[in-house]
Amino acid sequence: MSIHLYTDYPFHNKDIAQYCTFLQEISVSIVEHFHFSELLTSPEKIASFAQSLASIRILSIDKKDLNTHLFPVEIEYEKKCLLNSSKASQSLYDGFEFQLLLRTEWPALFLKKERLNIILTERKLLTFEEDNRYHLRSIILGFPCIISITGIIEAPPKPKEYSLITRTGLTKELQNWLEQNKEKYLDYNDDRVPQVIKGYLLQSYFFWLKGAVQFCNNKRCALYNSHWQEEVLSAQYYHTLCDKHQAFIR
Amino acid sequence: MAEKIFSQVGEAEVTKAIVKGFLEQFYSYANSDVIIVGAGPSGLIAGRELAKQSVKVLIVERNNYLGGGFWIGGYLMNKVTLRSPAEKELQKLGVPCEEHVKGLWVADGPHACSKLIASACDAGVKFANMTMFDDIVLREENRVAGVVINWTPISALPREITCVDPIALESKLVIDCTGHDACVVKKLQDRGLIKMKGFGAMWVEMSEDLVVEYTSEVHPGLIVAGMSVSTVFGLPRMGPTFGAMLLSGEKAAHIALEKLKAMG
Repeated sequence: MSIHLYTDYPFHNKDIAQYCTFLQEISVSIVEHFHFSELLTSPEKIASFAQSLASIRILSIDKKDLNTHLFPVEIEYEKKCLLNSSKASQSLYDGFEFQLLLRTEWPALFLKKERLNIILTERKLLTFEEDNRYHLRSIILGFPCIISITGIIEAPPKPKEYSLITRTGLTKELQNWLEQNKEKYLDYNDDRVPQVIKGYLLQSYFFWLKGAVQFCNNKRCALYNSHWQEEVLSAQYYHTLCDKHQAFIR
Repeated sequence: MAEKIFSQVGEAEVTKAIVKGFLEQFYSYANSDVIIVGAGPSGLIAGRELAKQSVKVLIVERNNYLGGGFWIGGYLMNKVTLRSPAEKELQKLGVPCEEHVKGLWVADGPHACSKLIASACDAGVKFANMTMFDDIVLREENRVAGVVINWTPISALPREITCVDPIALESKLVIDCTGHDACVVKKLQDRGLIKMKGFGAMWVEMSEDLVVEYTSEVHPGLIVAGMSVSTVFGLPRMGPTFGAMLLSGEKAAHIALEKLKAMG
């Protein structure tokens, strides 16, 4: 068995080695890291992938309409983001379509069941849910498994007290709350993000082992399906498993 | 006879002065290099930047007043907000800005708006206010080559007493700065030449970057700037922040300059 880890961002690059080591330890497998740009082997491939990315951009979060009529500037923007890894795309993408796009563009890589493929991305990926609107996602399990860093930071809501203060419109109080409660939520350039990512790497590994999405009810297990920031910081942050799942991994 | 403060000039001379001044300008600007539709912040900045480079610019504005929504921040409150680095645009104009929280600046709406209008006038931009954009002028291969206009009050009167034909102005380029209505692009859509995507729900942090990124020529001869960008490309709406308006206007001017250069 082997694991391939793809990343499309540069600013956390110092952390990639620890992700590889972590995956190696839990899976006893060969782990290889690639930058996503290594897949874009020719100008034609870049152009066609940029066009496909522009076409899965979400236009409205309450409609499942994708972007059918493309303007050249939309494709150029995607191309610019692909060619310059320090320029993170600000667009919203349909997460399942993104996954499908990767499988369609690189079937030999991402449809290979003998290998766990994980994409670590800065893109904002959303999925259309039963309440008829798109929701931002931290992880989308499947072939390949996709972990979104912006999703980890922005998708799970901050504690309820934060949203209550937001609704009062008291800016100063909100600032004070953010200052005084940093331990309760994740932010950009937060040292805890790499630890949380390891929790989601574990979820990806379990998906691959079991062939199905595997969540746990134990709030301290990395397989817990966290919805709130505080839950992420108690489940994924410690990137450890409950006894039952630990036994399974052995 | 008691000495008067003001010089002695009759009513007819006052009328002649208005007519002559207006007609001379109107006559000259029947052909412009660039016509900008909409005198909001993006239109003013675009016009100013072009005029600074000696480009002949006319801004068409349906209201009597210029400045669009820049007088008022939001919800009738006259403080405007900008996210860094857009505050530098106002600081260059000498408008005091205060940092509310890190990266978010607040300025006095009337001060910011009046200085911006003045800077556009100082650069040489001319205005046709109380003038309603009615349609586009199309040339070979559907290139946009000007605008059809009429007086704004015409639209407020019953048709049976105001059957007034519009007139047309020609230009090498047109910039749509009409906000979420994207009136100019809509005329292309009505003719099946383009399909707008409609703006999404508000998401300030994401929208502003994208509005600047997507400011572009959407059809030969037509550039979009400001909030019309979000309507054309299906981006989230921005809310009462103005940074992207200013930077988008600036980018539109750069694009227009490049196009004009290429036209020779």
